[in-house]
Amino acid sequence: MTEHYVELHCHSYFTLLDAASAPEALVVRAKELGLPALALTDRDSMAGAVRFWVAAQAAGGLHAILGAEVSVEPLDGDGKAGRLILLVETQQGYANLCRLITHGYLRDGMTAIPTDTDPAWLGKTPPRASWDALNDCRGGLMALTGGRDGLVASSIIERRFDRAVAAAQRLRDVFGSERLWVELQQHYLPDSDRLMRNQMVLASQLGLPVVATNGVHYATRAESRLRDAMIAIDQNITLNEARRSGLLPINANAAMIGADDMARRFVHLPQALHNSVLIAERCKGALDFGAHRLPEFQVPDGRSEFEYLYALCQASLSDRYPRITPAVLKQLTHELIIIEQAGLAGYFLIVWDIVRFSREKGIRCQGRGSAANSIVAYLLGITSIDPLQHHLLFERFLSPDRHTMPDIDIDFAADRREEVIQYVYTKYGREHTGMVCNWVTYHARSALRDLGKVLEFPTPVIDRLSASLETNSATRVADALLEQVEAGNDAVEHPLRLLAMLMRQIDGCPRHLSIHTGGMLITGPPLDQVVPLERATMPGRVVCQWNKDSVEDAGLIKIDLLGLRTLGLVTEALSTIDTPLDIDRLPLDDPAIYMMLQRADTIGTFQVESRAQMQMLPRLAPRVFEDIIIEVAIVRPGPIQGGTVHPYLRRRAGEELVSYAHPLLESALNETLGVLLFQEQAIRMAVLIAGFAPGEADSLRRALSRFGGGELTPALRELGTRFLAGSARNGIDTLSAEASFKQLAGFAGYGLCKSHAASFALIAYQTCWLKHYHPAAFYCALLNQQPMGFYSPEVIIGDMRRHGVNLWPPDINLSDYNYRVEMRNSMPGLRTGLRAVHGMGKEVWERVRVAREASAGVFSGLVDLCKRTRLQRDVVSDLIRAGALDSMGDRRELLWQLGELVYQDEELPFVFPVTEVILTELSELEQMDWEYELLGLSPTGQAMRHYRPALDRAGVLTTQQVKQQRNGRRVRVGGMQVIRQRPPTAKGLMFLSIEDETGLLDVIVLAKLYETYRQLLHEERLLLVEGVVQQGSGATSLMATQMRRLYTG
Amino acid sequence: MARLWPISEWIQVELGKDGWPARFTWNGRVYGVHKIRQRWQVDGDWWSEEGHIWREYVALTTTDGLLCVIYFNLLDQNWYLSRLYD
Repeated sequence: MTEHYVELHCHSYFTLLDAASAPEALVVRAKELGLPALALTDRDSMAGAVRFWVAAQAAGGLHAILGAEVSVEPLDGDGKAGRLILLVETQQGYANLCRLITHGYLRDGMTAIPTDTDPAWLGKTPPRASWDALNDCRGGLMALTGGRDGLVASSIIERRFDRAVAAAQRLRDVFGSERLWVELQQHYLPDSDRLMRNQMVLASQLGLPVVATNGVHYATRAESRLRDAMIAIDQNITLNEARRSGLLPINANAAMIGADDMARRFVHLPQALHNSVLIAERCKGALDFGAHRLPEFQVPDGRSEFEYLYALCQASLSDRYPRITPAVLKQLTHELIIIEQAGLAGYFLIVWDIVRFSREKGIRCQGRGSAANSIVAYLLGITSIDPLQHHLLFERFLSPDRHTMPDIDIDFAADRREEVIQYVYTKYGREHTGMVCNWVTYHARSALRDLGKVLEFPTPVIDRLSASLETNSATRVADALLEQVEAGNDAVEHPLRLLAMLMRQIDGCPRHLSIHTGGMLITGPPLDQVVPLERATMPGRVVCQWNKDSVEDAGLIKIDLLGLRTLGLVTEALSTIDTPLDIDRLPLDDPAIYMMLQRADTIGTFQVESRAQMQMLPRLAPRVFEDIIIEVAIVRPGPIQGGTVHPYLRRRAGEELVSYAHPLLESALNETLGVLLFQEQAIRMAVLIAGFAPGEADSLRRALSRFGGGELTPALRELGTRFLAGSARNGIDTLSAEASFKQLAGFAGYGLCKSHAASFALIAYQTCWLKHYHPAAFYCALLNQQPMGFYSPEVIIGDMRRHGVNLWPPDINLSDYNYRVEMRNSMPGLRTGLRAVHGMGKEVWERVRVAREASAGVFSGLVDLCKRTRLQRDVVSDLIRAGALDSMGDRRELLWQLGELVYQDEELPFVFPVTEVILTELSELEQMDWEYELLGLSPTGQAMRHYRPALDRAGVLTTQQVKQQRNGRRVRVGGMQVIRQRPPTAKGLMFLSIEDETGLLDVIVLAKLYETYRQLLHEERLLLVEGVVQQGSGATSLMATQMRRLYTG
Repeated sequence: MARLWPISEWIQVELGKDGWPARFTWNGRVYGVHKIRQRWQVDGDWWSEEGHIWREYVALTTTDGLLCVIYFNLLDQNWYLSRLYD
């Protein structure tokens, strides 16, 4: 009996906010129930198809059927879309289903996707495929008439039997009676029996077969509650309101059930169950994981893609390698052979072409990630790191025995990335190009807000719970809530328990689709035959329904075109510097740069500027470029948690002996003194010790990287056994082999690819170089590229002042929109751009610019400004208070004059009334208050300088003075909070950076102290901190013991 | 005329071979089931303070011509009379 049913109508949580289970959970449940096959039929979506397919393959023995529930336009124009289930019978059917779903979203099909300038862009509207499209795409598909909202059943429920017959006839016209089944469900609703009787009559009248499904919306009954909550969330109403509106199912019978239970529900209709098995046997469509599906690259002169790639590499050899050594040629040959065998020459050419376009247009770019392991990528200019010089490993990127496609990620100057994306759209056509999507999933905050609302928690309670969140995990918050319940507050026990239960269930469920930061999919066949496409909210932008993991698992090649503001910074800084220089050819051994790094003078630079990086730099004391690579890789949560940092530092300082689990490992680990830090090293270890092929070693690395700790999975145990067997064949003793495997397992998910760290280290070096040699240009570009990096403009400007670059206040006659370098009396400085004034948009700037560039020239005074720009009164007021009109008079007097102007409808009288008044002079503190309000900082200096005399009298030190104190000394210091961090890995500690006019100081707040001063820390910016000085390896911090508000009144 | 009890009346039910009610006893009198007319299940209100409802309803006619709605409460495993049409 158990094999006589297959579930052919099953929704995963990719039927957004109407189904509650992950595709993997559905597969597991189907296996538990002994179903031989399962179809995934999400509504107008194939988003879960790859995950479903992969899970079914991994489960072994479960036949995965691809399909979807498709919304179709109404039969008789009554406005209500109907739905039907479509199942993939053949590969053609798969392509057709993707096309049909795409059509439902885009309406006009791929050939007429509106561009961003097209007013017809509809945004995100409910999908609805036309009958013509259904007819066009029917090949290779089989259809079921759908559940209660299906075209047939919904008409019967509304007692429109004639319309139900018409709909079924129309469907029969499209699919024929060989490919269409009347779908029966028994959820034991009050009208279920009547509906089924009528459907049987209809099927008999039209000569159509019937099939039973359970219209699954959750794997098990326990998840039905989450589905109820999701329905309420989707409608933005409470559960009570949803029930009153009749939106909630009256029972929980849409769980997946086994053949025996289905047989009980269809006791008089065994054929309906049997037909499900017959249909499943016909479904042969699969996800084709093998094909690369890239478009052919148009190569000049009739050459092949490979010949052209070869020629390009040869052409740039002498430029990249002034000395072409045998090692260079050997590596190039090795890579080219593998690239040709893998049929990836076209892929490299496509990426090369994108980079070529970008450089031609002056858009700075650089490859990151594992691609920098490739000499071919280096020669093509895709990456900037010489893999030979830095001992990188090509097999981390690509190897003949690797089963996944390589991934090339390129960073572009963020402000010009869109030009590159548009180039790709134009070059390959919108039919073949789309952005990869990102599924925004539920985490603690969103889960709390949405679920709290449907359960009718008062808004202040949700706000309070939300404000106290210290983790992003909804499950962990649920655990904490239950602890709270156990602690005993009976009044709220029931709702809190429900909230916790639902938060656990909703953790990780997708909430909506957005665009991935840069993943672009380019395919040879039309993209809408590979994966369904949807409109993104951004006009003109189309996204595919798969995220990056699904794209990768489906064997498609994506190119990540990422935006990096630092590259815009470098471009802008270089354009400000008078002398031309090629920053890409800087020697990487400038002692001044390493001294700068050693003293952690890195605010504003790339990757090495964070508080944690600045604490590490004096300890690690980089002396060569390889040290910067290690610095970039080691200050990350993984190595910190994994206990890698201290052994490395001790070994580097000569305080600990460098040792290896086996002497063979020395060549793999000597660059990091025996500590495993890079992914490439993990691969080399498996090759050296266990004799793994590089691709196999990379598979081990990938499996370990997905391993979250605890007991090894069966797949990992199998790899472990092979590792030990290989080690034994290599003559490695069991103890050393086990120690090596343990080291690899411990390395788990945190290792960084060295090639990636090296690519970032290069940009770090370049930004350090700009900061050191061209500080004005560097800070100017850094401020103009905001928001970026770790620090606020205020901190950056404080740092800039300490580097001898002044800040000139905004001036309506001198400022541009952006900051710009301006020398005054041979002193370098930046003129504050009007963009820095709160609320000053481009529109305001344009009015100022146009008026200023007109023949009348600069503004002679307030009236002249108002007359010629007609700016709104509050804008002018803000400009005055920010100091932008200081050249025209005292701020308070100007505000008085502005108040006297008759200033309505942008019209001004020509006669300016002047009333003589005597106003109190604006104090420095008042002036500073206004500037902080409108600019976020004071151009005349850091706020703490105003309190210095009083602080000096009270014996409160400056941050600079604290750094000169001996270890263990108890001190008091005052400053402004500029950074506050409480990383989840820090066991409740808070790291605080305070700033005064002399610099920054790191303050450590222990967990208990944090709880005491939590409110103060969150509400007060100016603090007086008492604590104990901690000096270590050149880095100073203060261990706080007491804190209070710095009284400024 | 229909009678609806705000608090349903407890009844004793004897099931037939098909698993559906064959007889029930209410107020000391035995009623034979002539025909099961309709059945449905309710599982809801799990979030409400008043409590979760999980019931299997059966609409039936008795051998003496009454139309009744009875239900099995899955939470306390008892049968109840909900409505009576006479």
